[in-house]
Amino acid sequence: MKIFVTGIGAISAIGNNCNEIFHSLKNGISGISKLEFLKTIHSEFPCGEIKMDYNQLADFAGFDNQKTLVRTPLLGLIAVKEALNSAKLYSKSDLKIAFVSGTTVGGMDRMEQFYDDFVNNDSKNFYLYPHDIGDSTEFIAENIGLFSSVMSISTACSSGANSLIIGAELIKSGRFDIVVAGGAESLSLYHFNGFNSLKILSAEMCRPFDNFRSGLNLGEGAGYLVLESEKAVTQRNAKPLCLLQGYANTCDAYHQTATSENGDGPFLAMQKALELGGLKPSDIDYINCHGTATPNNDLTEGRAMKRIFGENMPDFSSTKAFTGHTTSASGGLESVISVMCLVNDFLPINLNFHDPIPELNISPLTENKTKVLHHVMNNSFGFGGNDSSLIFSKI
Amino acid sequence: MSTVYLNSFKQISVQKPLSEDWINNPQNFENQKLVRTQDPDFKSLLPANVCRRNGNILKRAMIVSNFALKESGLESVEAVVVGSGLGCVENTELFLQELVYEGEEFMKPSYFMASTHNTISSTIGINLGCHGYNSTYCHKGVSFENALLDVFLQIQMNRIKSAFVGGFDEMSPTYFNILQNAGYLVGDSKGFAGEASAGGILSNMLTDNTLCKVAAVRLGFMLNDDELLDLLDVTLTDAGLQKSDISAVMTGINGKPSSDAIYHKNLELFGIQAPTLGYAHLFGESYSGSVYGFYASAVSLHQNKIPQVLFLDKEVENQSVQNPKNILIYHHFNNKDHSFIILQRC
Repeated sequence: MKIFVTGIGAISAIGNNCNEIFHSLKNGISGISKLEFLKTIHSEFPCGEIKMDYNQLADFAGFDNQKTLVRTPLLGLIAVKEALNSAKLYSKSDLKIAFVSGTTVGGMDRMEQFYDDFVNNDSKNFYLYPHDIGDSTEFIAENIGLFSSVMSISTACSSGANSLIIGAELIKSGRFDIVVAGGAESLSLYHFNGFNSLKILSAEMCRPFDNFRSGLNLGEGAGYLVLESEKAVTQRNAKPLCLLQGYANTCDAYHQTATSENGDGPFLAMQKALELGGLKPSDIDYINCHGTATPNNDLTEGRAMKRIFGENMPDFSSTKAFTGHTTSASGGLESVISVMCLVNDFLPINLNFHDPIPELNISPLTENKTKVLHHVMNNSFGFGGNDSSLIFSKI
Repeated sequence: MSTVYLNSFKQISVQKPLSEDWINNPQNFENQKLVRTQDPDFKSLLPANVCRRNGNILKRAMIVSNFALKESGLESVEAVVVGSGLGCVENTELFLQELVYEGEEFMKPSYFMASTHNTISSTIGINLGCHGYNSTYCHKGVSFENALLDVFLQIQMNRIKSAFVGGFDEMSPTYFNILQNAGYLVGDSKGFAGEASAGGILSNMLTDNTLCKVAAVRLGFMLNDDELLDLLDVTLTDAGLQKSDISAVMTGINGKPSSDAIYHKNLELFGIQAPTLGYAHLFGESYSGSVYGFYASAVSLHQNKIPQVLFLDKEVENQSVQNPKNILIYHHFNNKDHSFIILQRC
């Protein structure tokens, strides 16, 4: 059964919608900058921050209740609305529509601001509500009103990708005609300091796949896709952008925060995604890599890619030097980027790359490239060894 | 489509751990608001270094998954899927407290590393050596049902042959107070908040140890009465059943008036002539606490008898249902999320 992608929506540090994001990618404009809205003492670490405060985000999302503004679901709502507009999906008619959303931070931005107040004085208790992940999903779903079923996934940095995978399975099972799936994640002091305590934040612009890479830049954003069955596409006369042809979720089963030496989890994810898609490694024209620019990720992802593709490495790049690592949103956001690349036959560069990792001796794209694309792979690997790979294909 | 069997299920809870002792010797927690887990002797069940390195919820997850796999008779599973409303909330709170009260300057990574929600499923993945599908669902009171649906579909569609599925949540006293103040959990009720650590093996294989068949799993969101009835009909159709085939309805009725009123209203709407069961008076309430309703229903089918302790109407003495065939499990969360599961005797 085919899974059609009929709509995309995203927001990130390089643009408030898909067009702006694509424009930044084409013109090599990075969104990594000094933090303005996240108040931290560690201002030496630049991030892919969206330069809007709560009220500006709410205005942009068309949400007018000022009481319960939480950053993650607002980012999600903005991207979901764009995805639905892009798919021209405005009413549910008799089609069954589900929503699957991934996040890990959820309402932590508010929890960390008001924790003391929650414990010692309950005056701001309405902010309690959004701390859990399910609430981010329901906030978005209730403001859209099209969904008869919702699910929430949290597999750290692969949450967005895994939402798309279960979304595709829900359609293949025949239970739903349309599933809107992806992920959203705001910056929070909680995970910013968590990543800092692990010493994987870079004080410089991140350099994915570079031998002298010094860690990652965090980011925030959201990315959602509208997935549809053939029946729904025909019935709605929708204009599909591409297919979600292959996907796989695997587990490295090695360590909470590091990938195994040879990237077993990433290797299996790419291998199984190809298998499900009925594709050979040589069919892949471009890989939008996880490429966080941490020493561990890029080395092990590179090793896994070499195990899959051998000497015939496809064009690849990480777009995280543009957007920052948007953690749970990355699988959604980078899927949107992958779909835009596929549709426009455009390959974005990997910013800040100079020297290949000697052992791998592979180089990502450093100059924009235009070529006919048929199949694009997108990798997302998370803490806990939750590794996923998606393949988008032209129809 | 493959048939989905439940081959084992193990629990650690406020009742005696890793046993079905709650059937005949249920512990009573009346007048308590928060009851913590009665842990087994970790040291006798896990290596010393594993005990030292891991928080309680992870130790429980390892033990539950070890026992479940052993009892299932399978050597390995192809997937691990967990439902957890709040994830590793104790470590989350410890890291948060460090951030809020000590500042950003000298934060240590250990609490953070074990605070992401998927720490539980990945720990089970490492524990069982499972490199296959691994996922975590965090959706309030239907977190476990989200996880169950994923595995159910994947086995039906022959993506996988077997999986561990479970529900895990822990509750710290401070976090409990926060949720209480926000009107969550037991609030004004007669019930109590607990924690959850339970899970088992689903597969496409009927074995000597199989507890029951999982015949249907359905989720719904923001449904009106007609839509809720439609969802019930689809659930029954999935299992090839009619309302009259249902031996009992397991619910999340927990003594919280606002929530129970919705259960009573919806049960009347369903119009199923079968006794209403509950488990929250035994195991307490938590986001993934519904896992115990699933477990207690499966045990009832396997033992060919619904034990008296699960009946909610205490006025009627010596109730029990012999030879139950199909148990419908219904949950709602805040009347927004709804879930139906049908378990069937093999």
